Amino acid sequence: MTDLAIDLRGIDKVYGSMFSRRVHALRGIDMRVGRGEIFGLLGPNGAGKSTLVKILMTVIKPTRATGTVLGRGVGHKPTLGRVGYLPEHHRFPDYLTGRQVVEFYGAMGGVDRRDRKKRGAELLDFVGMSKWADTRVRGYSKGMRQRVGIAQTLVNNPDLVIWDEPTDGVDPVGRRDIREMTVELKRRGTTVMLNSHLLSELEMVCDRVAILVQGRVSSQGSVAELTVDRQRYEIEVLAEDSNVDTAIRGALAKWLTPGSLTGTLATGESLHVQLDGAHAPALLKVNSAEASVVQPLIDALRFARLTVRAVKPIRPSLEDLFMEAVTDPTTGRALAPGAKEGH
Amino acid sequence: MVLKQTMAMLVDAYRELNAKKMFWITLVLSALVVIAIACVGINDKGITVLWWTFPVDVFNATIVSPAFFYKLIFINFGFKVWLTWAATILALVSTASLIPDFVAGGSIDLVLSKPIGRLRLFLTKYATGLLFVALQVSVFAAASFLVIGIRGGAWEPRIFLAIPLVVLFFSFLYCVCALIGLRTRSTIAALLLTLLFWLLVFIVHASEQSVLLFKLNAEDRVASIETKAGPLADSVAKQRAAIQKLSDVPADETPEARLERESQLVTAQASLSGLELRQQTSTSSLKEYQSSERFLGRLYAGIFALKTVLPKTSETMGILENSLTSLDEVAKLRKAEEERREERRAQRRGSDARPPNRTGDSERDSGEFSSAVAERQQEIIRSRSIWWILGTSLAFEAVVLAVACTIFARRDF
Repeated sequence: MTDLAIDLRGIDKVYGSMFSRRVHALRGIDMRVGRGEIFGLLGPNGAGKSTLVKILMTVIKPTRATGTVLGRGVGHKPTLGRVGYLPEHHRFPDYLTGRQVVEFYGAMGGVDRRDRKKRGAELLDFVGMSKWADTRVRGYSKGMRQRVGIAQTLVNNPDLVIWDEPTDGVDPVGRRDIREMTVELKRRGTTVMLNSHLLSELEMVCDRVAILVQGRVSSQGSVAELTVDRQRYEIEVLAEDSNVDTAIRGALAKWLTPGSLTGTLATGESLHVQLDGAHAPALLKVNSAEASVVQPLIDALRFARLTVRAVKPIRPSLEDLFMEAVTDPTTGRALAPGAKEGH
Repeated sequence: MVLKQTMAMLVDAYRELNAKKMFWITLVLSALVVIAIACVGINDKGITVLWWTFPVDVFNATIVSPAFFYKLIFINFGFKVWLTWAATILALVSTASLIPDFVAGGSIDLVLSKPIGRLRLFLTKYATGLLFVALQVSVFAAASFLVIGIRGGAWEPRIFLAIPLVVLFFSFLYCVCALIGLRTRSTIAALLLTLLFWLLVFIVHASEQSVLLFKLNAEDRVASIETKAGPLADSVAKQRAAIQKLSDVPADETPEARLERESQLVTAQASLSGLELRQQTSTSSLKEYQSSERFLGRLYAGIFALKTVLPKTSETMGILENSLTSLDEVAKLRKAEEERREERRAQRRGSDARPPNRTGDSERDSGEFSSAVAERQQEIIRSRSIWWILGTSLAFEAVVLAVACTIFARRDF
């Protein structure tokens, strides 16, 4: 058995036909999700996240797809009996009660009557909906619907759950509960794929993430892996009796390019000095996650009788990664939302 | 797995219907219809409603049996009016939203992501749409069975044929409703276009029956004129021969005899003129009716071809009527009606002080069809096989469902 719950290669989706406007929503998506991990799928609106998830769940037919879900080809219907899916903007029949919703979708997933009754009760308890289990869905708040929605994804005891915006419309308490449920599922060995805009939520629970931009995977990996090249040290420096500019240029002369506030350390890392005035603290940015790299700098600054006020290791957040991914490097502006039209 | 999913969808459909007010309103109305019919009775004088009697010449226990009377009421009012019109419209209103709601965003994703094929999913959902009518008609048929048994004295199990027949009848319309609902995702569009389609089917059916009647009438008239043409030609020939004979002047003719012969000749010539005029009129009418017969024949063929590909809603319900009422009973009733109509005609003629004329031609000349033509039309309609009626209708439904299934199987939701 492969260690991958999802292994996608070259997923393409083109909407429209030769007679209508064509939109190239997905352009060769390659993505791997390991078994038992929590995987976050990020991307701006129109990046193709929901399209990708719907292709996995056979709601949308791909133009081209190679790969596997739980070891079987994408689109293999019987495999969906081992998957739980919560779509974005889901709509349950409002004449059903929460318990009936869980049991109905359990039956559709092939769960035995006895099992779905037993698991239904357990799951409604798990999502904190026992008290409202026999109330019709039409009387539920958005958060209650999300909780019942999560319960129905678990009724078939799935190996993989895919939640599309599970915290949409949910209050902070509910968000925390859903986060805890996600971690509990991982503890039980279930693979969880989350599709969300709430980057801070994802950052807290995801083992790995993929960022989709305009139908392509912009980056993929653990947050640590993705940020390793972007980690840096920041050193805050004060000059007690002299002009900070002159003092710093003098102290760091052997690393700075003459006439410039940037330079390169002996170990190859880049150095950038940011000045905010003659008596304001200066900020040194060193492009390295290693503490040893900044020691010669600190020594030089201290030797020049400058005051080192703070030395901070800086690790970019998921939001920083996301913003970098959705920013056009040439213009510095956010990329236009939506998929590209194409052939 | 298949059974679990199908059962789950059926139970869900029942819950959905149960949640709809219209389901219960229709059921209550059905109960009221049955109760209303049960209040009506028949005795030797006429029709009774509760404890009142309304004398009716045609409908009384001396002409029709109570069992036949109840069957007629249930067929003509209970099934033909209530179930096939009013209850069907209510059923369409109730079920038109099933497919658009089913394929709505957020709803369809949940079921498509389950281990069930799209084809089976759509067809099962379609079948659950028929559940509404199946439940309604089952209750109605059971109540009708009891009323005919208790009030009419005839326990008629064939009344339960109404269940498959009404469900089939409804399915011919519902397949169109499902296709439009799937294509447009709009309940209103599905409902209105289905009602328009039903109107089209009704117009084609009514046109086919009318054109058939006109065509049979034209054929009847052509046959009638052709039948009379021979004797008329013989009369003309005889008259001509008589004139020829009278024209020959005998050698020993006396003046008195000549006067007599010339008088007979004038009379004969006048008679011949009359006969020739009738022959001319007859030939002209024959040509006219033959032309009309050809036109109506072509028109009928076209309408019949259109009707063949469309579902036969009326004929499907007619199967129930044919199975419940025998031709003898219908003929007996028709004879009573015919006698009553003759009496009315006689009374009308008496009051108009016109000489009585009981020939078929005068009846038809006044714009009515002869009863023979009407009977022939009914014979043709009743002779259509169940296989033709249901086979062609089911073929239509199969084609519509095939189109809907193709759309459902290929669509991205």
